[in-house]
Parts: sequence; C-alpha cells; structure tokens
Amino acid sequence: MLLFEEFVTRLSDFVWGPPSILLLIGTGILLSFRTGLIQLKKFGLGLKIIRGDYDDPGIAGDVSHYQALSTALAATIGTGNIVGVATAIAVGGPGAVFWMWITALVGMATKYSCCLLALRYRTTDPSGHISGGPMYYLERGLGLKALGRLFALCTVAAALGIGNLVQSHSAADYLHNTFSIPQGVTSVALAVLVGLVIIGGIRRIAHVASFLVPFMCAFYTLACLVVLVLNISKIPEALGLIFKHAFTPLGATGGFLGSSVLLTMRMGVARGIFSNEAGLGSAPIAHAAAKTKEPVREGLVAMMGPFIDTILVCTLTALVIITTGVWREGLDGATLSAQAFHRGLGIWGERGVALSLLLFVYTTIIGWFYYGDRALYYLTGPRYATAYKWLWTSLVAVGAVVQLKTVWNLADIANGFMAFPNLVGLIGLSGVVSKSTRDYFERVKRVTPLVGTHERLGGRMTDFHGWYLPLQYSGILEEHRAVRQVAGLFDASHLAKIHITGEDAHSFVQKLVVSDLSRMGRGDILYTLITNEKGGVLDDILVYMHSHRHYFLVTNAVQSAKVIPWLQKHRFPNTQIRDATQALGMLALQGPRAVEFLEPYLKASYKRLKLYTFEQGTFQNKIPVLVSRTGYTGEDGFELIPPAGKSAWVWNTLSNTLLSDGTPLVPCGLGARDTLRLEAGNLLSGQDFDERNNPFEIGLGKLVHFEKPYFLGRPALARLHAREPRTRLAAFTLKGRAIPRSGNPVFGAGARAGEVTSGSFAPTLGYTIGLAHIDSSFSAPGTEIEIETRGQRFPGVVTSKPFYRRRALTSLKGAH
Amino acid sequence: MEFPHDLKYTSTHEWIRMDGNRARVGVTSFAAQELSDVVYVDLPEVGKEVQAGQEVSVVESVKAASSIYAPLAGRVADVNTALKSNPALLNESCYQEGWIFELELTPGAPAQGLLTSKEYLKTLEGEK
Repeated sequence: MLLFEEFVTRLSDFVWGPPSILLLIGTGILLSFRTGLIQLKKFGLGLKIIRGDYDDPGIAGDVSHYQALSTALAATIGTGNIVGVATAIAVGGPGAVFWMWITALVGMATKYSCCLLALRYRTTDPSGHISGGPMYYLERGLGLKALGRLFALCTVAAALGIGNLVQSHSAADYLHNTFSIPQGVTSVALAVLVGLVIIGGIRRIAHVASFLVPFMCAFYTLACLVVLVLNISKIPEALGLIFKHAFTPLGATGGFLGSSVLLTMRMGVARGIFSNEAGLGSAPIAHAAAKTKEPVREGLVAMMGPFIDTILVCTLTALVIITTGVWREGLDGATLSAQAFHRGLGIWGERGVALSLLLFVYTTIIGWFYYGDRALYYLTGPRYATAYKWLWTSLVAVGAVVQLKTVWNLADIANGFMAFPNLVGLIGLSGVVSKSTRDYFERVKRVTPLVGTHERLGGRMTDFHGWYLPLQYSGILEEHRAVRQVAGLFDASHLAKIHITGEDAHSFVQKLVVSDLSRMGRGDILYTLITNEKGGVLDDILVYMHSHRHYFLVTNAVQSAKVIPWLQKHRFPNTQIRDATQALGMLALQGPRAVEFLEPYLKASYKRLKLYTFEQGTFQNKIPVLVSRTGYTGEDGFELIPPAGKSAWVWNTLSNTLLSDGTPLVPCGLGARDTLRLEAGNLLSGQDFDERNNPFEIGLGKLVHFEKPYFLGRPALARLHAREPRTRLAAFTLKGRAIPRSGNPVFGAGARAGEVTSGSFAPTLGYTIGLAHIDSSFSAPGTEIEIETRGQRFPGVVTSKPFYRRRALTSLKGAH
Repeated sequence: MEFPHDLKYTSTHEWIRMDGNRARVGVTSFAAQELSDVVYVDLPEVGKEVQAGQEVSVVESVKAASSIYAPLAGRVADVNTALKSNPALLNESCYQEGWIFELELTPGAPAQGLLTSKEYLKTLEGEK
C-alpha cells in the first residue's frame, strides 16, 4: 500500500513536472504566433464582447458570453489564487510573480484557441443542450476518438478530486481554523448549497456563477486594495522586487531560504498554470455552452480568463504578500496569505480572506461539476446524469470531513493528464485556429451591436466597407417589396454618429457644411454636404439640431475614415467632437405602415413628427431612443437610435410585432436598401460621388447656400457655380434586361461619354435603372445613350430622378 | 442545400443531367443562393456550337452577373424559354423548372472533368 502511495506521488510529480510545463508553455507560444498575438491585438475587443454589446437573447446556445466566462472563472479562480500565489512567492521569491504573468500572457492564446475549437466542434443533443470541449474537438476535428475518451475520463476523475473533495476539505479546514466551525457543519451546509445549484443544470450554474464570480472578485479585490492602500508607499518597491528577482537570484533573508532564478521561474510558471488552467482543457467545456455562432468571438471572451485570474487577482494577492513583508518570514501556503492579511487588516483581514476562500471554493465546486457532467455525458450519454449529481453532492459532504490523500493525488494526476490529449488537439488543430482567426478578421472588421441578431435570423452576411452586415434575409426582391408595401427593418448602426457640443458648436457646424443652419430650430434635421477647400464632396450628412450648443451628425460609414479627421482638423477650441458610432445603435424602420409598428412602444408624439425632425423618446418606457423621421428608401419611415447594448432588444421587439391584421415586419439587408434607394434616386456616398465631384455635378447644388458668408469650400464652390459642370450625375433607364454595374462605360453619339456609378434592376418598376456621370452634353433627360456591360452595348435613355415616388404623405411635410 | 446524386457537377457550379447524347444544364442550389434573386437570364441561341468551358449564358441577379459555362462540347439544342418571363424559377427550382439550356453532345468528345455530388460538395467546403 505504501509502495502504491509513493508511486502515485511520483507520478503526480511527473505529470506536473518541468516537461509537461514546458510543453504547456511551448504550445502557448506556438498558438500566440499562429493567432498573430491575438492576446495583445484583440484585448479591447474581448472586453467589449464580455460587456454584452454583441449578445442576442435568441441565438443558439445555453448561456451568454458573460455567463460562460463566469462559469469558467468560477471553476478557475480558486484556492490557487490565494494559496498558490503564496506558495510561489514563499519558495521562488517575488520574481515568481513575473513568471506567473508570462504564463498568463501566453496562456491567453492557449485559452483563446481551445475555446474557439470547443465552439467550432460542439454538438447539440436531441433535447437541445449543448456539449463541447476537447473531447469533441479531438473526435470531430482530428478523428482521435480514443484520445477524446481519455480526456473525458481524466476530466471525470479530476473533477471528483480537485473540483470537489480537495475543495470541500480545504473549506472545512479553513473554517475550522479561523472560525472554529466544526467540519461536520461545513460538510452538510456546503453539500446542500452545491446540490441546490447543480440540480438546475448549466443554466442555473451559469446564472449563479455570473452573480457570485463578480461579487467574490470584487470582495476579494476590495480586501486586497484596502491592504494595498495602507501600504501604498511600498508598492513601487514590491513591483521593483518582482521585476528584479525575475532574473536575478534572491539570497536568504529573514526566514526566506533564498532561491535560484531557475527555481523562481519554475515556481512562477507552475503556479501560474495551476491557477489559470490554460491548456488543461477545462474552460472550453464551459465556453462551448455560449450563445454565439462565432467561435472566434467566444475565444476572445475566454482569453480574458487568464487575464482576470492571474494578471488581476493573483497580482493582488502577490502585492499584499510582498508589501506586508510577511513573505520573508518562512511561512508557506494558506498560512502565509492569512498572515499577510492579518498584518494588513488585523483579524478582519484574516476573516475576509477566509470568506473569499470559501466563495472561491464554492464556485469552483459548481463550475467543476459542469465539466465532470459534460465529460460523463460524452462517455455514457444522459444515463448517469442524475446519479452523478447525487454522487457529486455526497462527495462534497464526505470531502469536508475526510482527508483522502491518495484519492487527491490520483485526481491531481488525472488533472495533469487532461493536458496531454488536449495539447495534441491544440497542436493538431492549430492550423484550424489560425485559419478561423484569419478568416474571421478578414470577414468581420467592424460589427454592429446587432451582429448576433443577424446571425440568428439567418441573414447572409457580407463585408460592406469593413462592416459585417447582412446582405439579405429572405431575398432582396421580397424585402424590397415589403418596404414598398408594408414596412421593413434595417440595421443602420454602421452609419457614423457624431456629437458636436460646446460654446461654438453652431459656428463650427456652420463652417463645416454648405447649407445654412440658421433656419433650423431645435429638433430639426438637415440633409447637407461637407465639402473640402476645392469644393469636392467629402460626404452627404444629416445634421440633427439639439441646440446651438449641441448638434448630432449622421455620416456615411464609407467616408467616416475621412470625415472624422476632417472634423478634428477644423475643430474650434470651444467645441468637442465625440464619435458615438460604437456607443449607439441605429435601426431604420421604413415603409408606408412603419408608423403602425411603433404604436405599441412609443408615446404618441412620434406620430406628429414632421419629415426631417426628431425627438428624444423612450422605447417601452425604459430604453432611451432618439426617434427621427427621415429615410433613404423613398418611403415614410423612422430611425431609432438606442444605446448599443439595447439595440438587439429594440430590434427583436419590433421584428416580433404583428400588426392587427397579422402583417409582420420584414428584416431587410443591404441588398434591398440599395435597390430601394436607387429607385428613390438617392445617392450613395463614395460610390455615386466622392471628393472628385462638386455638388453641382451631382445635382445637389441647391444645398449650397451662398447667402452664408463663409464655410469650408465656399470660394471654390462660388467659382464652380459660375460655370456649367463638365459632367453631371444623370439617371438613366436601359432597354432590355442587362444590368449595368458600377464602372461600366457610357456612350453618347457613339463616343465615350461617361461611367456608370450605380445600376440595378428596379423591382418596383420592373426595368433596369442606374446613375452615371455623363458628359453634360448628353445628360439632359430624354437623351439617348448606350451602356456597355459584359462586352455588349445596350440602348438606354437619360431620365429625371426619382425613378420611383411614393404617393401619400405630402401632408406630413412641414415648413421645410 | 441539396445536390442530387444522379447529376454531375462542375467546379463553376453548373449541374448536368445526362440523357443519352443530351445534357441538360443549370446552376446548383449553392450558386442560386449565392446569386440571390435572379432577375434576368441571357439565354444562348439554339443551334450554337460550343466548346467545353466556353461561356454560353449569363445570369443576372439583383447583385451580380454570373457567367454560365458549357460543361461539355456540343450544340445548343434547346433553351428554357420559361426563364424569360419568370427568371425567379432559377431560385425556386434550380434543378427542375429552372434549367437553362440543353446540349446535344459532340459525338466522341471526351466527357472529362465532371464531378460527382460528393466531389462537388468537397469543392464547396474548400470555398468556405
């Protein structure tokens, strides 16, 4: 028996020894490079996703991004964050903390990769529950079913030990030592508390985790911060020690025995990995349940795990231990942490740590239950699910009162062994990780807050000048018809939304745009142009007037890269420019019956909005929205501008609305938006015109108000106005059914006379229409032209805009 | 998406239904979906001789124009005139009523490079 125990201990030393640790770190480094150092480049994006900016309540999956991360962190943040850090410093000195950071940094790429893979290869069971994790990517990605089973087996075994017995034991122990609570009491109480949560499955686990994890982190952080504030003068010194002794050996001082650089490194790296578990393959099981269709997106969330666990929480512990100076006193593990807090905050400090530890233990037990449960499900299906819950709960009770050293060690080995199959999976599938990452960022440069909604609704996504937006849902023609006959809903969140505020806001915007703002009142919207000094059109924009000191500009997505720097360049000292594009969503509701769809959600005053006016409203009496009445499709319609995080809610509420006669609202994509706007004769900035064109050429000369004494581009525009434009943007129709595309040549009297900028089949009209820059001598309506497309010339005729005009609603036009 | 087993395919997303020395040609459900709503099909002239790989027809959708190539050498023996008045057939029934043209194959010309449904599916996975 003794021999067996020794064997177990040796094996444990081996699986957690330097070779496996090197392998874990090596894989992390490999993945950091294969993902293009994703942990540094996409850190901010990860934060935004966790905040829920991209969540959609209806998308497949069991839990939100935030809940998945909480569950993973519940299991990950544990005694290692308090006790493990203490051990690392006690043996390796302060320099060990530096090496913990390195593990976390590298581990972020590992975590990103395994969670990406977990999502990519997850499965849904007949009852709709989701399973994923290394066992699935080993089987489905690499075809290594045996390794998948090995991983699952190790997970089940490890869960029972380090996820259960060890945890409840240390909790009982700690409570006994600190508060003299008998182990038996802890045993029963903990078992009941655990049982209550796990009975409810992943949804309840995630729910509890997402409440407890931030609470416990905040509580622990607060405790640490109090100690740190009291010792604030020692923090620079502590940081100095961490960096200095990461690379230089530390001699014995006080009770501290001294350590070599190698030992420091080893302690830091090993404790770092124990703490953030990067590479072991546990967290991906939790992340696989996330509600998202994009593995990369969940990977980015998971990536924050090691950051929060190690770089935030462990660092706090470390700083407390170092600044209080107790690390020099020859103490170890839990005692060291407890002593540090005692030194810092007295008996309350010690109690605070005890409470934190208890919370850490509790969440670890419920988090690990889920890992074990999914692994068992992988091995045997749902057969033993209930038995496992009972076993789990009873082991919590048993673990608290009995110390099963050999079982612990066996579990520890199983935990270490999880890494081997997982690393095979990670290395074997690193190509998939790399390609998925590249493809995703190729495809998705910028997303709107509605991206999850578009995916859930099955929108076919496309790249629109760097924005990832739906091209269509049901079909361009169907969506087009819906907007002409009933109403459609568009995501216009990609439009740039800019606040201009301050003393001189009015004079600044006056200087910026070609139209005169002095006729505007509060709540008015003006369609106008921004031109450069040469009179070239930078963009067409909407100016919303809140007051003389607050204007709100909506500009095109295509041109915002030029417009925003232009605004900055010409800014007045007393004006502020705030780009709210990311902070706000924008939904466009367009169609003759648009007004009816808003009825249940807004106060009646929106119905009185005149064209080109807006008001501040609340959607369902709770979500602040700016409601305006403009549009791009040629129909009546409204724009709703809610905070980004509420956009999906507004969208889903509207798109689930039926009118009293049962008519639904049709979600529409960019395809229909383009055919609709072209029929209505509206221009697309960057396609129908750009800086090379002046307002007169594109038929928008009426927007230039020369009675305004000064604005950017005025002198040049005055000169351009005095002469006939050389070319004009003309509308045309084409005989036959070929469709000219942007860039196709236009011929007048047999000679080249211009170029098409937009062309489409017009669904409402049933023939081909387009816009083209045409030599002025051929641009008068009625002139016959030819357009060459696909190597053939088709006869066409210049016509006047718009191609399509709606009949009703002239009564709504106000004084504008 | 469906790719019937009794048809042959090309990597340019045409399907071919062989019947003796005749081959009926259309576009696959993948192509029909990618094209989005078809609004016009430019049909070839009956009697036109074509080489394998030669452009014979153009499908115009709201968003894009797409060339249709002859999968094999032959003479255009028939075209689907129903597409003239109802080009949406191509989206609604791409393997049946949405066929585009029929070739009478040149006797003895090699029938090379056609894919089975399985092979075609593989090429699609590569594209994704």
